Amino acid sequence: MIEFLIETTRIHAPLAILAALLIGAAALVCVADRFLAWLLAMAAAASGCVIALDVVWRLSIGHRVRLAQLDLALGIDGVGGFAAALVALALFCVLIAAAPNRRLRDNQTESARVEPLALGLILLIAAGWITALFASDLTMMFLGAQTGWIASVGLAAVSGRRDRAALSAALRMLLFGGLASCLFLLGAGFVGFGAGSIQFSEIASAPGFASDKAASIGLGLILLALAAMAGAPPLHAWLGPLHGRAGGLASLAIGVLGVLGAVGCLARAVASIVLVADVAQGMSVGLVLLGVLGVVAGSLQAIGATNLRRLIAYAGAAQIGCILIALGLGTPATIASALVQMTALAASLLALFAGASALPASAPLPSLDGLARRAPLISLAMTLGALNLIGAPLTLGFLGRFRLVQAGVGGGWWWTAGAVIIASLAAVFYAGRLIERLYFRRAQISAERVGLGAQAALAPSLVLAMALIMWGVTPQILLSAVDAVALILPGDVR
Amino acid sequence: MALDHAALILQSAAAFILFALGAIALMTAGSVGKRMMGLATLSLAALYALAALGAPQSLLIAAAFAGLCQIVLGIGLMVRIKEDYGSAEARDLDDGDRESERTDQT
Repeated sequence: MIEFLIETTRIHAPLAILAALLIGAAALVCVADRFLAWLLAMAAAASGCVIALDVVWRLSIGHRVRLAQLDLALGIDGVGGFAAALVALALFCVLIAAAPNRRLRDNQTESARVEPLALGLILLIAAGWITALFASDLTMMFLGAQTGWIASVGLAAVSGRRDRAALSAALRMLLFGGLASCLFLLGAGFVGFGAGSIQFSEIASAPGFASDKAASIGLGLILLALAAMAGAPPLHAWLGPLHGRAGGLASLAIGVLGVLGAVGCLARAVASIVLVADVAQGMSVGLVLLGVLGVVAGSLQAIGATNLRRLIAYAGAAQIGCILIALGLGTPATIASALVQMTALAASLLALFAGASALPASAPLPSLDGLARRAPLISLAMTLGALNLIGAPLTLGFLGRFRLVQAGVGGGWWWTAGAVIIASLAAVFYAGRLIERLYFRRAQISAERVGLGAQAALAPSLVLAMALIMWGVTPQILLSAVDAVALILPGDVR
Repeated sequence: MALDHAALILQSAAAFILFALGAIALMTAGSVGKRMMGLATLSLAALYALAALGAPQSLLIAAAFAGLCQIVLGIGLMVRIKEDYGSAEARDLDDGDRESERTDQT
């Protein structure tokens, strides 16, 4: 009986993950008790996480993965499956950090408790982006991305409670997302016109796709839209206001899940279309230029940031630039390095945003002074997150950048080393400033004591994030997994 | 054949003009309501372009549904913003946010 259930779940893996998350989100609407709501959300997230990790594990060891042939436009490929597992794991960590006995400070004057609605929206964000990552055609990817984005806007709007600026940030996010969604739709239309199909497995193999101008323009528009949703500079006007004013939980959930989902979709589009169809050089050059611009702009903004969460958001944007460079180089080795960088980015953002969520939304950087004495675990997690951003040796961040440089130099692109060095040097400046404030300064302004409850509730998430970062010490499993999944295309799993 | 090609070009041009108008309104309009109108125009332009390019019905329906959800959510946000800020002008929102940030910093 158990084996039958396991086998059925495995052949319906994408549907099972989505069902767990969507049913969990729907059930939360009916639940009034916060602790019960949190338990339901955790159960849904845990189920989705286990199924997703099982899929990736089987893909990476070369186990035969069978999929039920349902007419649902859902399928599994290597990059999408890996990114979906990452989103599911991040969701689990985010929900651990949202434990209901924790007094989250969503504004400066009053504590706010986690609402079941907020938990439901978080599940919906993850469900939306996982749908996009498992989509077998552009329509489903669009629907999934829009579900994730609109749920993010809703979460940003409800998270602020008494802070009206959260509404303004949510509106800005909605308008920006609307523009991005229209670009995506135009792109999908052009791709369908040029390739004759919007199925991922058929686009790349369409005759004349690589030389068709309409298809190339369409693909470019889709990548641009996804980059905007990921918060890649210079298309990230919504990022600063969101993280500066929204509540701690919203900042954590959108900053981790939303970014991972959008970057995963980008990686998927590149791996399954650009790489296979050997699309015009202009596409790769465009991605790489966007990546370099992202590294420079994100780093400069992070250096100039005076608000902690904005600093983290812009630092993440700079890391996304490195991922775009890896995707733009367009070889299986660079795609694999992009996946390693995505894992490192997820761990960093989780550690940093989770730590920052213990402080008020508008916390200026001086509020970090001497935090190591008041909250040692939070400080340690934020320090490791910062070191990961710098790419310090023995961290996953170092591994991702090393693989990018290795693949880039191996392909004759020597300048990739320069781009990575710039990103790392800038990160030393802004992340080093963070670490210096945590450990080497005394509290200058009257700082709120971070409650024991808050620290205890954050502890599991922070420990998981730290473990992910330190995976850079023995990365063999991760490296073999990304090398294996980078070669599995849409349509290979049936 | 030539007529079809000409019709496609005309339709694409019309969609492009609508798209440009919607984008300009969305980014530069003075009030939240006008920005929402810009968003609605953008969505219509995308739908029109999809129809002109012969996109599958599923994509058209998905686009219409997403556009509707965005408009509905936007209207809800607009009402809440009007209640909290007392105004739906973009300049008043920016001034209010700057004031809040200044108060928080002190």
